[in-house]
Amino acid sequence: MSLKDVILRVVDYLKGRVEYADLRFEEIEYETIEVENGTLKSYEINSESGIGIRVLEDGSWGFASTNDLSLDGIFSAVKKSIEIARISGLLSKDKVELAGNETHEDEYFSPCEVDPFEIPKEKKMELLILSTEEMMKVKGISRAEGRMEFRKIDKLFASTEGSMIHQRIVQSGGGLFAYAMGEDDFQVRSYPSSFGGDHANRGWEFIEEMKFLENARKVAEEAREILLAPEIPVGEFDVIVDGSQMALQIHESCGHPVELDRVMGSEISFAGGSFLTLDKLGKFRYGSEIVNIVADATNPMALGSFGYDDEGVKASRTYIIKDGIFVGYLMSRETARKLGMRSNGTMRAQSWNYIPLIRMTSIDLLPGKHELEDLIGGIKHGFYLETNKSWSIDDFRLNFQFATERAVEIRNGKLGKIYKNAVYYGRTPEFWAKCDGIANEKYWRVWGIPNCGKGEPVQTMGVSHGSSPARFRKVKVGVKR
Amino acid sequence: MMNFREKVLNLAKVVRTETEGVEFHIVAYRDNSILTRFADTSVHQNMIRENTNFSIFLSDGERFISVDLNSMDEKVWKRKLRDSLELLKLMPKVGFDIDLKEKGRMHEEKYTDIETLEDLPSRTAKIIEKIFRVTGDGAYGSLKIGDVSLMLVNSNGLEKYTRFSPMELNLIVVRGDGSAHVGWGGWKLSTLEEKLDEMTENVVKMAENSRNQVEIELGEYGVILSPEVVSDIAMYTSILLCDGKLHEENLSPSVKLLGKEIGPHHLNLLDDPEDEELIPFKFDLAGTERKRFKLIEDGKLVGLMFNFLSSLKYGKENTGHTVNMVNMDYSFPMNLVLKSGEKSISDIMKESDGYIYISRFHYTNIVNPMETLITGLTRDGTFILKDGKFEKPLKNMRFNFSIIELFRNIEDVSKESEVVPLEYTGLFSKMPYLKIRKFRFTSS
Repeated sequence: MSLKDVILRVVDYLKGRVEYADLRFEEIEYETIEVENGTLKSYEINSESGIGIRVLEDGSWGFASTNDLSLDGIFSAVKKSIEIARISGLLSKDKVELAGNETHEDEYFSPCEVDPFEIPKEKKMELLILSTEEMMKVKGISRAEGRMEFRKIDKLFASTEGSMIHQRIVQSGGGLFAYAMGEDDFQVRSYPSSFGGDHANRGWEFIEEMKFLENARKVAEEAREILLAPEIPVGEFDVIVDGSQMALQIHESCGHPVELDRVMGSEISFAGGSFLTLDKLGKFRYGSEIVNIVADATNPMALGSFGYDDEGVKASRTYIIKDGIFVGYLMSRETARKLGMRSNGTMRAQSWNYIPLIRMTSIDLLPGKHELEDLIGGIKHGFYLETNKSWSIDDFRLNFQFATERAVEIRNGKLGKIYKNAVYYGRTPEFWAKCDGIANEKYWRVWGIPNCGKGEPVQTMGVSHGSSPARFRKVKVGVKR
Repeated sequence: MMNFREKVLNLAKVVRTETEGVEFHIVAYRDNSILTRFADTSVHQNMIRENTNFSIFLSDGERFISVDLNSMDEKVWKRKLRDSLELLKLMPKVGFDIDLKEKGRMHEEKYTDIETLEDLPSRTAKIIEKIFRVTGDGAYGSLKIGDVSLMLVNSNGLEKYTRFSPMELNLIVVRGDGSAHVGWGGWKLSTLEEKLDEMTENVVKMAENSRNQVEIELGEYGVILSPEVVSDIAMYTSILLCDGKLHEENLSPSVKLLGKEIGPHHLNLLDDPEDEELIPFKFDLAGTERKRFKLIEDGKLVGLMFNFLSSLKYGKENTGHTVNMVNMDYSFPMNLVLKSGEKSISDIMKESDGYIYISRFHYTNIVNPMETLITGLTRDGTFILKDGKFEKPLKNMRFNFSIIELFRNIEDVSKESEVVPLEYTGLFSKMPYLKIRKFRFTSS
């Protein structure tokens, strides 16, 4: 019996026994390569498979998962999911109802020109070894790291409503990280972005386009330059936040607070709630009039994209912030129903062993009209802040503090001196209200963040953010020690 | 039907046959867990998860490769092993000798609450029902019960097995603009059941007291930190100041501080696998026996942790801190304990008028590792103290502090300690309350 037949048999079993059920079978391959100072640090090859069954019985959810893919193993998990849903029912106040959804029988394949799992492993290692050796040639560099990650996800989704969807998503990513060491200090410079580098739903071609070897020396030189730079002054300045840091700014201060499960309280005990409460939908001024943010799972190469979410809802593009006004949430079928709406397809699980949660897709700040040099030209004294180094935000997503790897001083409209230990902080709506310029589409690109954490047990998810550099007036910079 | 241990030993035979001439080390990890999450006194997620994962480390003494899989199928194993052996030949040499020297046998099922595990999930439902009865509306949280089996087998005759049942309760009670939190960790559900009513009543009381929060001027204040907050600080301390690899690479302030005083003489931070209140890990994932390990002794920074690979690379002893065979960057203390002091927390609080009590940190992160500078926010119960009591609840504030500065400002360590979950790790720590002379709040 093929796996598809087994799944159909389980779906048949569940039909009529429970209100609703869906099954996700997943087979995932991973490959992670780490090189340090020209030497291989680790080469990990992982594979996993299993099935997760989610049932809605008498208005309550139950979920069970197993890696035992025998018929007995799967049916044992099915029975557990029903049992635990019934127990949930004894401790639930309201009955869950789901917003409507079309049924789909479909396939989706993310774009992948060159399968990264077919590239010889020596070639992958060599690229990182040569790149880190190149970085080590720069005086003062004490550690040079290179990293690549690849993932291939084959997912079969079936529901008692009749959907049967097969998706294959290939993800590639990586980066370079140079550490410059001083007497009492070290500074890191990352390329093209920090904390694992940049990632996309693409194949080996994405790695090649990043041109690690060609950029290695520059990354190392910049690390050295930052080390020797003075500390950023404390004060209120106009700043331009570069695209990669904007990605995290959007992520923390917009992406998370518009997750409707957070808003409705289901994450309060762990990650927290949201200041974007239901009464604010369609009315609240989130930012200045030039701020437009969409949730877009339809850009095929973005890390947060897919064909269908883990409830079988087709990927969509919807507005979150329009002309500065908060207009939309990220929703599931359960939460959308509570608002009398339909899901915009954002329920995703890390893998077969996890329950789907509302997750960011690609939350993109749409490009503005400015040339970057005009944005810089409009600042008398301020900073151009590049690449995330540290982040923190409160449990309702208002008070944030970010640190960046590098700050470039802007004086009289010109970029100048480099500063280190850049920190900026603020409160979300006040900060976004200060946005008076966003660079145009020429400077816009999507950044992949492979490690967004949410839920219990913590689920790590790949999400993405499109952005170009943006200007903010009178931002608090630096922290008093 | 074969049990877990027999299955692993059986698969180890496959590895032994397929990988002749190559050293191997298998980490087999089975986790069957139940997790119930609730929001506003209503269960919204209820999960039973089962998985068995195998990490196979292969080495020819000069190179290594790691393969992870969750299949139990011998055919799959044989195929993966054949591929891996081919790959191993392609790997560049790491530049140091790889020696899987650990051997010996140990079997232990001491920290498993078998009776409870057989009675799930109805018993967890009863606990949650009990919580809901006490809290009424406004209960948010989760209860997790795990049944974990861990087995290590290597080509050198190592065979170590342990089974334990980590349990964790995370409860927040919300009242108006206020909230309070309690966390519990352990391995016996009856321990939680015995103190559940008292714990829940206390957290409800604290949530009531935290209503109508006020703002205060930002700046420096004296603070009293709860065991949960101290646990966060202890974790960052171990990461930033006690990592052997970072030390060897001059990327830690330990380079200047090792052997020096960084806090008062009664500051003692340990990784203590002999503490029976925690789930003591008697061996690390390399199979190295874990002994009581001092990180800070009488105020002096004394301990640097090394794991399997970092110890080989730098010619040091593995100190029993391997949490991943292939990642030399992470050495981690699995049983963190900060030794308690002599004064009771109620006496400390009586002498702390104007100090701020912090129940919980939120979203802490490292701002500057060499300065041990940490940022984060308060949440779920922050109060000004007067006459040993909570006088006024405060709105949440952001702080930025250096761990080293904080240690230098320790005024008191409480007599009482609590076992609390170590955030994000699934582990527990045992921590007292700390009274700190100066602590800076930087924004609100």
